[in-house]
Amino acid sequence: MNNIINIGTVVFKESIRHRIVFFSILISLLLMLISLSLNPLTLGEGDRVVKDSGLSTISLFSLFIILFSGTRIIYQEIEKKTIFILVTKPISKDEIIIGKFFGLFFIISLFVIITSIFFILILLFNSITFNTTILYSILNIFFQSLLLSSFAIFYSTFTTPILSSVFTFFTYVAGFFVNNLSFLIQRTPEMFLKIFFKFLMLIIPNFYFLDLKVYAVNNIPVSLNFIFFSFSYTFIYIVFLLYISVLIFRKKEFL
Amino acid sequence: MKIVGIEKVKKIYKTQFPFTTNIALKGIDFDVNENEIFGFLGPNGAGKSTTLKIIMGILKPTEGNVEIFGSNIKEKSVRERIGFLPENPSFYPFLTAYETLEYVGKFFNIKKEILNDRIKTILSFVGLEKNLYSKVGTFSKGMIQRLGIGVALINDPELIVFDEPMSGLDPLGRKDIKDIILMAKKRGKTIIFSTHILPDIEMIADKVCVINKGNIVGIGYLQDIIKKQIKEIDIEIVNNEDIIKELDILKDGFKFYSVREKKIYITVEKESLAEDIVDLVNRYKGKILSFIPREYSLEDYFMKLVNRE
Repeated sequence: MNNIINIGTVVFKESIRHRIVFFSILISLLLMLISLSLNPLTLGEGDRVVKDSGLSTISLFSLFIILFSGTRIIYQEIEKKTIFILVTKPISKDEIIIGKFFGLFFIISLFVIITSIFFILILLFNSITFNTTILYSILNIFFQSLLLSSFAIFYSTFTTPILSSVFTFFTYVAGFFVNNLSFLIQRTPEMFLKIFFKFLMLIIPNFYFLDLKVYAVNNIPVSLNFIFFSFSYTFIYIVFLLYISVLIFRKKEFL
Repeated sequence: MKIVGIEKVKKIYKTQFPFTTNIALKGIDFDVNENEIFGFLGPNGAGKSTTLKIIMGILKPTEGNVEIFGSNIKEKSVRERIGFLPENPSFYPFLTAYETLEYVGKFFNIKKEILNDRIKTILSFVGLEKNLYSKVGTFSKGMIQRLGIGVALINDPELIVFDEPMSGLDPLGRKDIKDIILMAKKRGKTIIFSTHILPDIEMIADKVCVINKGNIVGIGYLQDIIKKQIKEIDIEIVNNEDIIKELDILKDGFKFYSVREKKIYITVEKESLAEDIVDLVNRYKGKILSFIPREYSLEDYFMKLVNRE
């Protein structure tokens, strides 16, 4: 575990020193403040707009951090040959992958914690009503970001940072539209296409399970069972993706 | 005691093109014994780095067996006893020299207080004590090379593997690294290092292995390779017509013969022939300006092996 934390800490330090997290936090806070000024334009829906834009900001900037930090996490190490520092030391390749994931975990945690505290303070100071669903929604954004991080690491084990960013971004987008595939499955007469769409539904993460924004904005209570489900869904997905990443990385040779 | 054992190791790389391969190592065998400085010599692309990467477990051999301390490099307990400096080492530019060594040191479970002291000792040993808290991104190539040596020594390894440790360094830097290697030997360490610079090996190595085109073309202890024999003798004589007449008879046996305005230059391989020339000059009361016997060098051995290949 020490090795994993050691590797994770360096990933975290890199992001901090590149100021990606700092600028993401700063811009997120500014956007949250700007959303308050939109109140006169929202025809009485100001509270909803503030909540919706606040949650969307946290989600989008988490994605930005992952695209910037996560997608080059393994490739860059190989490309710049800093990987030799790691693979010749008494640590396993599995620990390297898991350590990199933990680094992203630290970064995302820092970002989500700071922006969420600021977001909740904005809601409190402006007497905007909210219930526990908003916290659950933030928690699910956090899960969603971790899931995307594991995708970024997975892509990073076999492709370049640019392609990895593109793949991660499309995974994010596809994750929000994957539910529409069930509609296509019903409408398509072709058996082959039905199987293909079912396969896509199986491999693309369904962010619908992790999206509680509508509930949070409308103060609709959500049971803890749902949170447990989203946690389990995320956890299983991450373990599976990291396992595949480890398998790919174990076979890698570094020239 | 055998520290490293390489047996029939082959390495074949797949190229970018389908069904084509590149044979980097063609089945090499050698051993490295305890407290030896083992110099790995060869031209660029001979297979030196590939061999060292196989020893370090960075690359897997296509065929053959590699044993270090009698075990496999995959064993954590084996890697704990090795220090490695890759060719053109690279570090995280956003970390300081101290943080880099601390990061690596933590993989060896060294206690914090011991690690702290060791980092300072090592950085001063490699001449970076003034750059303890400077970011690696600001370092010159020579400083990075020194830091790389520091990283290789952080676990006080029994076996040290340096890939081209002197490359890109100025003469002072190269001397420092040679001193570090010799000091490590004094402390009982075993050192393997690769280079294509002959004098570096000649000065510090106990055993030399010459590799060319993926084959080991020569291996042995330096004292056996560089036989203390006269290779050739350079003689410089003041020009004298009588001597030239006599030398014209003997000149078929010379390796080099040139007559200029005031001097005669001769290189001979046989000592007896050199003695005849000296007698001749004395007989005609001529003057020998210089008489320089040259011994066989590692360069001769290397050139002979590589050219033969």
